[in-house]
Amino acid sequence: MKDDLERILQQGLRAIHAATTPAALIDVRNEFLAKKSELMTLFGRMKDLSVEEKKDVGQRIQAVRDALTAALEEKKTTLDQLALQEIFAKEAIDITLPSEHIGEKTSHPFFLVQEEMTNVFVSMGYAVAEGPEVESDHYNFELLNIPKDHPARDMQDSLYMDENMLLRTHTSPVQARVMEAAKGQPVQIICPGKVYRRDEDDATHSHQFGQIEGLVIGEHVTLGHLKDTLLVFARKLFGEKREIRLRPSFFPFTEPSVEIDVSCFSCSGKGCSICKQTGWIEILGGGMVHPRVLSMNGYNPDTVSGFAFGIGIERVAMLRYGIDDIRKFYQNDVRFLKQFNGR
Amino acid sequence: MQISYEWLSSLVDLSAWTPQRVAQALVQAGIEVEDVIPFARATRVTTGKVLSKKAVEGSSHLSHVMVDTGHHGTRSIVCGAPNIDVGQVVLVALPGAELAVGTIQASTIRGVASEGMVCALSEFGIPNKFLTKDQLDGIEVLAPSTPVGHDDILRELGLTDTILHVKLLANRPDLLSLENFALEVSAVCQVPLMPVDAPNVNQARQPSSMSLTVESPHVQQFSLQVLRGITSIQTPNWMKVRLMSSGVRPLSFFVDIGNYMMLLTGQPLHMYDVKKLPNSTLALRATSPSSFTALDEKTYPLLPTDVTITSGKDVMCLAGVMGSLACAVDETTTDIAIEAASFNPASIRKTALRLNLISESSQRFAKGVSHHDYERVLQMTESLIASLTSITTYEQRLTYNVMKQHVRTIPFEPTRINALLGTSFSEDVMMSTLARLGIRIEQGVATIPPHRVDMAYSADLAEEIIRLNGFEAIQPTPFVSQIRAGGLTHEQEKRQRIKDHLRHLGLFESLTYSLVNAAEQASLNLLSSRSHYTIKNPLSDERQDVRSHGLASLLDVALYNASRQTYDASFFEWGGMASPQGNREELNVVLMGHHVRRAGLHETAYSFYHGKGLVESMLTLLSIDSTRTQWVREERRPDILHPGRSAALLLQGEKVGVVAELSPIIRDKKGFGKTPVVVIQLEMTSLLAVKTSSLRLTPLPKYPSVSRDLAFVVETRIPFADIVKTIRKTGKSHVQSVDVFDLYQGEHVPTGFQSMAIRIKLLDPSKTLLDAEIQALMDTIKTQLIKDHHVEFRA
Repeated sequence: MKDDLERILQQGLRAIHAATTPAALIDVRNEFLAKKSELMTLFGRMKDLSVEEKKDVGQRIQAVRDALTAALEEKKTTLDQLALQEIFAKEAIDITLPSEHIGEKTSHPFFLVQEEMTNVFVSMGYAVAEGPEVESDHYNFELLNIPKDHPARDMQDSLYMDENMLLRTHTSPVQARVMEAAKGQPVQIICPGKVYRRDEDDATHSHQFGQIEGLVIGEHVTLGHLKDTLLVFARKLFGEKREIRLRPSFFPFTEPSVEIDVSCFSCSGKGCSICKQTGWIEILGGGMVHPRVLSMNGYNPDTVSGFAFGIGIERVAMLRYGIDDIRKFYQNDVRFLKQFNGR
Repeated sequence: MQISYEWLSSLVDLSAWTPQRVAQALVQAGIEVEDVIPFARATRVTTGKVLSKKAVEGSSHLSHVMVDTGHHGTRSIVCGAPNIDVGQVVLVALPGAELAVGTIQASTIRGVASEGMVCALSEFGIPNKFLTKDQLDGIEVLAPSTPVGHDDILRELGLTDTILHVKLLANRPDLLSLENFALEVSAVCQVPLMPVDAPNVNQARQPSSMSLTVESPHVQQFSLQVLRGITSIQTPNWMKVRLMSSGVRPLSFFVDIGNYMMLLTGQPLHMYDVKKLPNSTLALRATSPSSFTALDEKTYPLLPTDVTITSGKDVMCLAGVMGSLACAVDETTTDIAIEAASFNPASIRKTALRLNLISESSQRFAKGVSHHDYERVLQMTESLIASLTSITTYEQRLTYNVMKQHVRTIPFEPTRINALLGTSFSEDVMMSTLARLGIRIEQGVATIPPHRVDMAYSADLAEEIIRLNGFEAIQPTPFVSQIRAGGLTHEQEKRQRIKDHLRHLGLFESLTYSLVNAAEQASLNLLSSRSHYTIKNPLSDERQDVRSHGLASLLDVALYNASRQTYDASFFEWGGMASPQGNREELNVVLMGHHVRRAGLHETAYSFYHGKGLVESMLTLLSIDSTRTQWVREERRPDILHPGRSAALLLQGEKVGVVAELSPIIRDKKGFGKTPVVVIQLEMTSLLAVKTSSLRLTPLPKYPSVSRDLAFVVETRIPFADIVKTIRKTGKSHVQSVDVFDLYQGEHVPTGFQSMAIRIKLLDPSKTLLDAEIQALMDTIKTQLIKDHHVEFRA
């Protein structure tokens, strides 16, 4: 029986070694370890043996069974590994082929700049006010201290629907509407939006363009507050190292009126083609709300004051991204827009 | 506006200044100087006498001249001017001279040495409008008495002036007067004024031979001075030079006098040849005759509201705009009537704009003539003429005046001024700053000079103080908010969320013009159409209407890109749409070509279902529950849509949107060819306004769900939604979801039918469903499907 066991063990190990597929391995298991296999039948032949012999032979058979089982397991692991390697090899791909496009955020430079500027002011506590683009003469001009036949109307050749209705020439009428609704209470708003002028379209002129105007009204509001507000704005938008410079100007709805230059973000004031060698870029207009505008809109200019400012959306985008023609904003050429992806 | 620096220097002491520094100072004070350029750009120019002239061999037009340039020697010069001749004294630019046309160098032309250039004035950059035909065609020929080798000839010719090109702000028409400009320069540069010396002509005056009748309400003031027996002369050169430096072309003595005085004082003058007037009365009537022949020999139709000055039946002058040919002054004039007037600016502006007669005078009148001292202007004019020629008779002035000459004052409140500016100027600094502008402060009141029509408030005083002291004096001060809350409204947040969603999906946000041609776009709107505004004064037919819908513009964007070889791209535009029926926000989307997942490898042609999916994803973003919306076939079916592939979105029964594929015919007609195009139009005002309840979590099921599949043949006309409805109705709350996972039409399925495989997910929240219960439920569902939709089950 000893010899039989040794022979079965050797035969089994050889068969396991020879098996090259999981199926062949199962055949080997069936041949050597199934109930009717020679090894298992040896258990049956033990019934005639003494108790001691039974114990001894039983342990020997079990040892052969364990050895074969372990060898089978080991071989199975090896074969499984091989099979897996084969699958991996078969499933290997060219990782340089194009990817599945999950999506790529697009941006239009107009809205990119409009939203960035809006966010700066919203973070400073401003509310966003909106109003109609087809506006009445009353809100677009009268309430902003631009009465009929005022020479300032020459600056804005407008597109009219009739005597009293026109496409708004600035977003300022929204300010007038907000002031009217505020009934003397403090105001702190920006008004982003589209405005229209009777200009022939060319590289630098557009009959339609975007503007963001701001208005703050309250007690003890000074030109110093405007200066600080626009300094913070300029630095958020163009970088922490920017400085601003105020120059006198004229707008019918502010007094004093100022133009606000920002130190050039490209050359930091040394002079380059973007700032036309001046080191400064004219970007904003603003001033203290004209006393007549305050009183026409329900405020007492003796007790409250306010500041207002305005900025052109396309102009900022053109300066920042080097866009040379304002018409590009309105063509929506994918080759142009794609360059702003991810912004 | 052009300012002659030399003329300006005669009115204000600029001896310690340069034109560039004055310009810089003015810019900082809010007077925009766009350019500072010499009137004549020429260096190293002298004079020379032409000694000999012969043709250059082989050239049809070049001459070889020898020119005696005094201490610069006798020079050989090749010259192309046809008018050059022996004996002429001419301008010679020596080698190294910098002219407007370039740098002059000694050279050899056709084998002949050329040691300089004989010059024409145009080569110095003098505008053509100031040059005669002879001057334009050839070289400048100087007076024969001019010495040769005269290096300071440009100064003698009055060509050394510097021009400041100034862009005036709309609130400072007073600066159109050189006198006022000088006052401004004096205030800005802190240099003394040198007022014009205009001695009173102390002559006995005869009673006026003329009379005035003023009925027009648009006349504010009208003064007339008649002078007789004037000996007409050539305009002196110094005056011509000042006129040219100011951009005005010298014409004739009287016209030049008028222009000169206008530039100096800001007051336009009009001159009548008294002898040519039909009678001795000038009338400004309330209504005008019907036409008028002007100086330019053209006849203009008039409206009764135009202001005219008539004599007899004829119009002698269209007030403030242009005079009549009939009584125009010329070389033969000896007796003149000089008018200094002011009219209602709006009236003049309207007339000038309507007739397109924009003259220097009409522009000044339209902006408002700010001079209030007409007597002084007439006296200065009289004095100037008297200093140049002789006058035999002075008549008494005629004056009509309804202008209120009240003194304008503003309370001077230093505390308020500092409070507005955020500064701490002392009262003394404020007062001395204002004094520089001629503003006097007495007992807390500022008296404003009459020409400063722009000043009326304390804020105006503040502006003058800060602009003359510099804005550096203002300390930036952080502003502390006085409102309760800022930030975006709910609607603004929702809008932002949707726009960001579409951008993240890769749709290109677009920006298009609001002005369109509505007739061309009429067929390209899917929502209930609204009327549109039309522009009264459009720039072109293409831009004559304000669009009330935006899909057509976005389709144009897609087409623009398709014609530039971008066939697979999607676009959206969110815009406010104006209409006489109110303003609305609209979202338009165009999906063009393919949804490209992997270029060339994985591309799906855009279909209706992409559009529907996009809309549903937006409804989710808006938290609008699917029970509140409904998809229905688009009944109206505009021609542009594929009738079988279009649907309307109903929000609580109201149509708020359309999703559709473009009809193949339209695709072809518009130029998309075979490229699939899906359009979406949503009325966002309603969708943004939907009130949504806040989120309350539903507990997760405790028991497992089971899925059962059904396969059947059903008529294609029966919508999937109806099948789902039947299943839900029958299976009640046990039905968790119904999904279709296979659709088939073709072989083995009769025409008009399709085979459909669906998966129903069942769940009982209170217990595990038993097989028998599931079977019973499925049997009822099957029976009901057969009953409602005549479906035929397959094994």
